[in-house]
Amino acid sequence: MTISTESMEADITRVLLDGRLDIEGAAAIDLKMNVLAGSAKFLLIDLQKVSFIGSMGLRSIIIPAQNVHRRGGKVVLFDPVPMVEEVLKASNIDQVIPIFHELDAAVAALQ
Amino acid sequence: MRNTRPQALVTKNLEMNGNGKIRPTEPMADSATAAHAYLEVVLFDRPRQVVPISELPFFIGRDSEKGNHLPLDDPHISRKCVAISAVPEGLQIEDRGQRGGIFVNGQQISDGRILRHGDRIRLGADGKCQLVFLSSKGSHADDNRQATMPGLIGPRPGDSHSELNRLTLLLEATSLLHSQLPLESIFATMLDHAIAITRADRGMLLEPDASGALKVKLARGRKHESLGQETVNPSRTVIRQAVEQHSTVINEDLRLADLNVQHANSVVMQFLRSAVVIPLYNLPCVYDVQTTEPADDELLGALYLDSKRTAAFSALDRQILDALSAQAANILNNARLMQRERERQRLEQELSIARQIQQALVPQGLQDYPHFAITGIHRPCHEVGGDYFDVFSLPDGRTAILIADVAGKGLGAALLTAMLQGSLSGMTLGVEPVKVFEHLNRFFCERANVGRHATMFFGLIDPDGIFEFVRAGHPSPLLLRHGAVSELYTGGSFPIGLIEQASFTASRIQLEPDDTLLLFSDGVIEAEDKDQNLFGLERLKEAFVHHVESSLDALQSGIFEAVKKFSDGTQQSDDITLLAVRFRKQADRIGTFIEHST
Repeated sequence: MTISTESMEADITRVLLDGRLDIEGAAAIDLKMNVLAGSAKFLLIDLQKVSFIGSMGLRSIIIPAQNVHRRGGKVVLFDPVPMVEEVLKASNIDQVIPIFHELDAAVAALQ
Repeated sequence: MRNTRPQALVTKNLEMNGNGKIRPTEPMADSATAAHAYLEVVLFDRPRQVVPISELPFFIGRDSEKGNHLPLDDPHISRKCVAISAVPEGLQIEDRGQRGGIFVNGQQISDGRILRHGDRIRLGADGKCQLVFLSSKGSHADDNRQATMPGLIGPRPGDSHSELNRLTLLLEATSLLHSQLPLESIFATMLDHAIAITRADRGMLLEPDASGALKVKLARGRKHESLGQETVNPSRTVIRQAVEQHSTVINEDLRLADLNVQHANSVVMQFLRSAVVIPLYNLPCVYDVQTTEPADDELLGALYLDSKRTAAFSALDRQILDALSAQAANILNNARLMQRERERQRLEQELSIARQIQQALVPQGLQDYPHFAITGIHRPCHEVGGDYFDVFSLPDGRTAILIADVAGKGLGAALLTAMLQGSLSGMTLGVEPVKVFEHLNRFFCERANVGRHATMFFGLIDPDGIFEFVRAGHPSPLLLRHGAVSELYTGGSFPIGLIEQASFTASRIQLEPDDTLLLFSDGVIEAEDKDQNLFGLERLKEAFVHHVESSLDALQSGIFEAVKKFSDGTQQSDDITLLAVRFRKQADRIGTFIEHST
């Protein structure tokens, strides 16, 4: 599991996750995700390369996202594969963090 | 066999090893010449080899094509590593560009340096490759000292009687390894042997404490007496030198040692004249080196000997000392492994108790409900798991059926399953399920550091087949009715303990006779084959649909088999829980009642 970030327009930070977001994957990104959540205001979490998400992986996304929300920021999830999207939706995550498959729409939602 | 010194060196051209004699006995001219100088090479996994310095200049490096007289087939060695050449003062060593540098007795050489008998040459910074320079000039000096200080120093080379005695001592020491004596007395005897061989005044075994600092574990005097660990004061400077150099340090005369050592407090105050320190390492096995990242050798301890007199050790003495310390390293390592093993056993026992408790918390005798049949199985992927299920009766005549899956697995998740079960059993006191869910959600969110949440499915079945349920992020149970499988619900719901503002609602359906419900944890649909394909909901539905006529036990084992066959030997990566519920026909229920009343 790897995590990298890049800056986008309008103060948006794009977080690229790559790999399996299982227990080990979650442990690998948690610290960095929390640091991001403490500083970034607009997070676009790019899930295109996440092939699997388990319940600990859900936490790695939702807990930092809620921290961003508390500070008045916004978070969107971008383009999860069907398996990952199903898991996110089964836990109603999409009701708290919107999911987009079009980059333009994801960026627009953050503005 | 573990050794006391890193040996990761492979050399070619073993025919260069000479006749195996370690030190020439013939007297030598004033300046060391090629014919009378040798290099002792530590060979990987083999006894040390002695190579004559056959011509000058003498080149050492990787591969023989580069004109190296001593080719060392090791990636750590540069092709042009070292040259030894003749200068008026004797033989001089020069760095020809070895990566990491060349060290003589722990000091990196920049320009040429005259080699003296017994000099330890380390090739590269990592200490994996060592040479010892031997010249008969050195042995000549030994002979002089022997003449001036009889009885205080080692035997003359070639004194076969004395050598035999020493080998006997070594054999005795070796046999200690297999003895049943307490560790303390094994080390005491080993130290006594080391003292006898080196004729030292004192011998000590040092072991690292929790912080890694070497502490005296045992100290012995030359009359086989124990010395107080607090009162002995080994030279920390020499010990540090040995640990830093990663190799044995032998100071036959401390007045010839470097200034740091000469002026060390312990040396001055105790009139120490000679000292030997052999650091004891636990070396990774050969196959470890090949299969894992090269790890730092673990320092197990050190063997320390000192004396108020100078000493002179023959090559054989050194070999015996090395062999002795190899034994000590072995014993220390075994003792350490034994301690770890005991600790592991203790933890295993604790885990096994946890497992017994968790299994005992799962309801037993599940078939005994009059209006439905039920069977359940919980198979954690570790000793204990984060899944659990429960079945219990409420005072209003309904029966509660519950499956829960705490995020993560193992002991941490298992602790929380017990807590969930306790909280949910409160429903037998007439508390609304939705209220219990909301309470638990707040409880978990307020204690965010617990770092876990849970998915749950909670159902209440009444004798007329009304099935009321509350869900919390759990995959929908499957319903098998008239030969078709459907999901009880679609869409999501919040798990317990992930989102503070989550709310929960109750739904209900009417069960028909012979309706079969399959409750499962995500470990079932997320079981993987060797290519990381998931078992998935479709395969589960397919496995389930064949079981209209089967008994619940057959259904359960059929689904288990399907998952197992799919995984095909892949290690189970998550807890698996299955719970099957079949609403009974009216007639069956009467039958059951009759059965129960007889």
